[in-house]
Amino acid sequence: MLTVKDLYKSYRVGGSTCEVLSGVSLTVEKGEFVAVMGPSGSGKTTLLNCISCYTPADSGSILLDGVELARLKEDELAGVRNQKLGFVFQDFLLLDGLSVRENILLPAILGGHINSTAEARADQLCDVFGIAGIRNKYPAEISGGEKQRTAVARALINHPLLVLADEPTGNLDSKSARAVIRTFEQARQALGATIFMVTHDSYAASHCDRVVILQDGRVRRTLEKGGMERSVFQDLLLDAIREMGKE
Amino acid sequence: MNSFASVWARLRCRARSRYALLAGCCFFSALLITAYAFMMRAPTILEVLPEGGDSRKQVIMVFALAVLGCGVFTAYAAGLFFRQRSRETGVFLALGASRGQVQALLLPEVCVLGLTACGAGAVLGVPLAFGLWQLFRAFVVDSGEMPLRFDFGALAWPLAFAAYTTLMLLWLGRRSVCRASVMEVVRQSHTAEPVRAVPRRYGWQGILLTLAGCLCGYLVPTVCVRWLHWYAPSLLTAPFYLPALAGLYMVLLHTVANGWGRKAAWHRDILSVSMMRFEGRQTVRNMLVMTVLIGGACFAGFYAPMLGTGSMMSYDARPVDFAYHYRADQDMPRQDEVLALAEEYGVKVTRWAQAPMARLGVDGEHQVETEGPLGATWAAVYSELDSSALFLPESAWNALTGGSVDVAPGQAAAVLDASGSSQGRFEPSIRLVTNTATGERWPVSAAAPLRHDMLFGHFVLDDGDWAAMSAGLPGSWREQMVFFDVAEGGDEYAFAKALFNEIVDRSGPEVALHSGWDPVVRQRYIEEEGSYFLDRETLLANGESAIDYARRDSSEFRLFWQYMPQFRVLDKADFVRTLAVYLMLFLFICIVCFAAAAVIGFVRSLTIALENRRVYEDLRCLGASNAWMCRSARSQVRRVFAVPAAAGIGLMYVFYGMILFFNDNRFSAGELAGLGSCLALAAAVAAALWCLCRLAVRSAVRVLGL
Repeated sequence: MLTVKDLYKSYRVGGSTCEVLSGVSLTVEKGEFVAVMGPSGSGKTTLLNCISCYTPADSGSILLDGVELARLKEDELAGVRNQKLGFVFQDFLLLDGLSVRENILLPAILGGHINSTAEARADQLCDVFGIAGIRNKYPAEISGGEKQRTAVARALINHPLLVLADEPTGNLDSKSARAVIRTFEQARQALGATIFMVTHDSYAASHCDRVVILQDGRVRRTLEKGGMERSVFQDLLLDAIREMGKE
Repeated sequence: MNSFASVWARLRCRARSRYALLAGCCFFSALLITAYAFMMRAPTILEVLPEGGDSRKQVIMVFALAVLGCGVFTAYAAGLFFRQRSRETGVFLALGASRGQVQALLLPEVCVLGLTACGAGAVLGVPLAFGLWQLFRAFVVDSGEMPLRFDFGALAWPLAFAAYTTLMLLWLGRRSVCRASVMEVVRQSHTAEPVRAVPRRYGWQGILLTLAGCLCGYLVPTVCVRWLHWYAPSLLTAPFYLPALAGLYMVLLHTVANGWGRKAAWHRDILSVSMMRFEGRQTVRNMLVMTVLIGGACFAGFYAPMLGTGSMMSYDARPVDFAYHYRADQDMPRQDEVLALAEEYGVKVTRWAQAPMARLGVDGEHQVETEGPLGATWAAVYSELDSSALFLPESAWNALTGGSVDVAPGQAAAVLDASGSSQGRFEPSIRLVTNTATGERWPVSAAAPLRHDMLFGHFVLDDGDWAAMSAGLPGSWREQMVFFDVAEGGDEYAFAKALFNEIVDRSGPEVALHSGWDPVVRQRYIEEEGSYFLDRETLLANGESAIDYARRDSSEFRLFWQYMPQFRVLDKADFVRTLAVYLMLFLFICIVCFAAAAVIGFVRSLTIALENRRVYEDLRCLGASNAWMCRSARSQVRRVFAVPAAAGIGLMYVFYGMILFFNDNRFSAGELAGLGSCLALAAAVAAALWCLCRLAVRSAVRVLGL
C-alpha cells in the first residue's frame, strides 16, 4: 500500500542546514492502523508532509499503491490527494461557511464526482460516527470531538487508500480523544480504512497495530501490538519512549 | 450544492462582509479619484488656474498624494482579503483541489469585483463632484465663473485606476494560490503580520527623515532654477519628497510597535500596544494613507484662510481708499466727474491727488531658455533696453503720498512695498533709462528706496530728470495715477462699483492688457520670435483666456488686468466672489480628502475590533473588567486617528510655513496672520477627527460586545 524508502529531508535555517529525516524507511499494508511516535523535532510531521505530497523530499522514494509520488506533476498530485489520500488535521480545518454534511462532501465535490451515491455515503459516515444529529450544523456550533469526527468522515468520503492523520487528538480533551480513536477503529473495521497517524499520545497509539518510533530523523524502533492487551501495549510504548530518553 | 463553483458561491455568501469590505475600498477609492479628476480637469477650473501656476501645481500635487494613498489603501484591503481567504484555499488544496481549479474560481471573481466596484465609483464620482459644487454655489458663493463644465477625458483616471485595481487583485490572487507549500498556506491563515523588532531609534530617525524630505523636496527645484539655471522636470524633482514618506512610515511604525509613552507606564497600554503590533503593517499602511490624506486636506484647506487673511490685511493696510491709473491716451473720468458720481451715492471725497507717470525703458537681465532632453536650461542675458517701468517725478510722489522726497539728479529711487521688499518681482537697481520715443539714454544710480504699497514697482526721479527723460513720449507711454480718500457714510460700495464700471466702459481695446504685458519686452519677442505670449491674439491662439471687458467680474479680469483699479471697499466686498472658483476648488479637495481619511480610519477601527474579538473574549475569561477592556479598545482606536491627525496636520502646517518663509526668506505680517487662521482651521479639522474617533470607539466597543 505505502512504501517509504531511504527518505531524506533537510531544511536550511539561516546559514546552516538542519537534517530532519535521515533515511527513513517503512511500509504500511492495506487495512493496517499504524502510528508514528517520537519526541518533538524527531521528524514525525515532516514525514507526514512528505507522504501527503505537501513537502517534496530531498531523496528517497514514496510509493503509494505502486506509484512513485515524486514523479507526479502538480495536477496529478492533487488527484492523488483527492482520490487516494484522506486527511485529518490537528486543528480540523473545517470550513466555517459549510455545514457538517457539506464539509464531509467537500472532497467528492472537489473531485467532480458528487452524486446521490456520494451523498448517501456522507449520510452513512454521519451515522457510523454518530454525527447524524448535527449534520446540518456549522462548525462554530459543534464541539471539538464532533469537529474531529466530521474531519475523519470527510477524510473517508472518497474511499481513500490511506488516511493520514496529524495529531488528531492533539487539540481534544481525553473524552473527545477517546471518541476520535474509536472513530478510527470504526473506520478500519466497518469501512476497511488504512490509517497512518502521527501522534504524541501513547493512549491513541496503543490502539494501533504497529507503532513506528522516530528519533533524530531515523526509525529507532517498530513495535507490533500482535495479540497484546491495549493497556499492556501502551506500557510497552511508554517503556520504549522512556528508554530512548535515557540514551 | 454539487460542484466546486457552488461550494465557492456558498462560502462567498457566508463571507459577504469580507467581499463588501474589499468592494467598498475599491469603490471608495475610485469615487474619490473620479470626483477629484473631474474637478481637476474641468474647463471651469482650468480656465481660472493659470497654466504652470502654483495653484495648479498644488492641485496636481494633492491629487498625486490622493492617488498614491488610494493605491496603497486598495492594495492592503486586497492583501487582507486574500489573507482571510488563504485558509479556505489551503483546505481546498489539502483536500485535492488543483491550484488551477481554485484560480479558475477566484480570479474571475476578484476581477469582476474590482471592475464593478471601480465602475460604480467612477459612475457616482461625477455626480458627487457636481453635487458638491452645486451645494457650494447654493450655500457658499456663486459667480459668473462658477457654472461647472466637465471634460469627460478625465475618465481616463478612474479607468487607469480600475485597470490597476484589477491587475493588482489578479496578481495578489494568483500569488496567494501559487504559494509553494500547501502547509504554508494553511498555516498562514493563523498568522497576522507582526511588526518585528522595530528599533526605538525609528522614532527620531523618522522625524528627521520626514523633515529632511520636505525640505529637500521643496528646495531642490529652487536650487535647480537658481544655481543650476535648470528648469528640472517635476518627474526628476518630485522623488526628493520620497524620504518624507519613508520617514513618516518609520514614525508610524515606531508608534504602532513601540509607542511614545514613558517606559514607567508600560503596563498601562501593554494590551493595546501588543495587539496593534500584531495588526502590523496593515495598520501602519492605513495610518500612512490617512496621514497623507489629512495632510492633503489641510494643504488644500489652508488655502482659503491664508489667502483671505493676507488679502484682507493688505486691503486694510492700503494708505488710500481709492486708487486707479490709466494711460494718458484714454478718456477716463475726470475729477469733477468722479466727485459728481460720489455725490450721487452720498459719498464725500476727502482728499484727491493726481499725478503724471511716464513709461521708460530700463536696463536689466532676462532669461534665455534652451530646451534640452531633461528640461530647459536658462542663461541670464544683459540688455541695455530690457524692459519698461513707470517713473514718477518727485513732485508727483510727494503729491500722491503727502511726503517730501527729494531725489538727486542722476538717481532713481525704486518703490518697494510697505515692508521694504521687492517681492522678487523687479530689480530695484537700474543703471540705464531709455526714452523709447527718442532712443535717448541716461545713466542713473540707485537712490535710497521708497516704500508704498500702491506705487510698488515704480521709480521716482528728480523733477528735472523726469521732464528731460519723458520729453517726446506719446500718450500711450504716459499715464495718470489718481489717489483719493472718502469719508465714512453713503453707499461707498455702490459708488466704487459704478466708478469701476465707468473706468472699464471708457477703456479702449488697446488697453485690454494683461498685468505682465510690457511694450519693451513685447518688441524684443516680436523681433526674436515673431509673437509675444501676452498679446491678446497669441493668448487666444494658444487656447488661453485674455482680458475681456465683458467678463469684468471674473477672477481673470480682477486679478490680471493691467489697469485694474484698487478700490478697498470693492476689493474687500468682492473678494470671495472674485476668487470663488479658487476657494471652492480647494474647499472641495479639502472635503474629499478629509472624507476619505475619515472613512479609512473608521473602517480600520472596526477591522481592529473584529480581528481582536476573540482576544477580548479570552480576556473576559481571565477576569478583565468591561471598563478595562473598553479602555484598551479606546486606546487602539484613538491611536488609529490621533497619530495620522497629529502627523498630517502638524507636518502640513510646518510645510506651509516653510513655503511662506522661503518665498522671500521672511514672514510678512499677512503671512503670520494667515498662519494664525490656518491654526484655527487645523484645530477644526482635529476636532472633527476627534468626534469621528469617538464614534469609531463606540462602534468598536459595540462590535466587541463590551
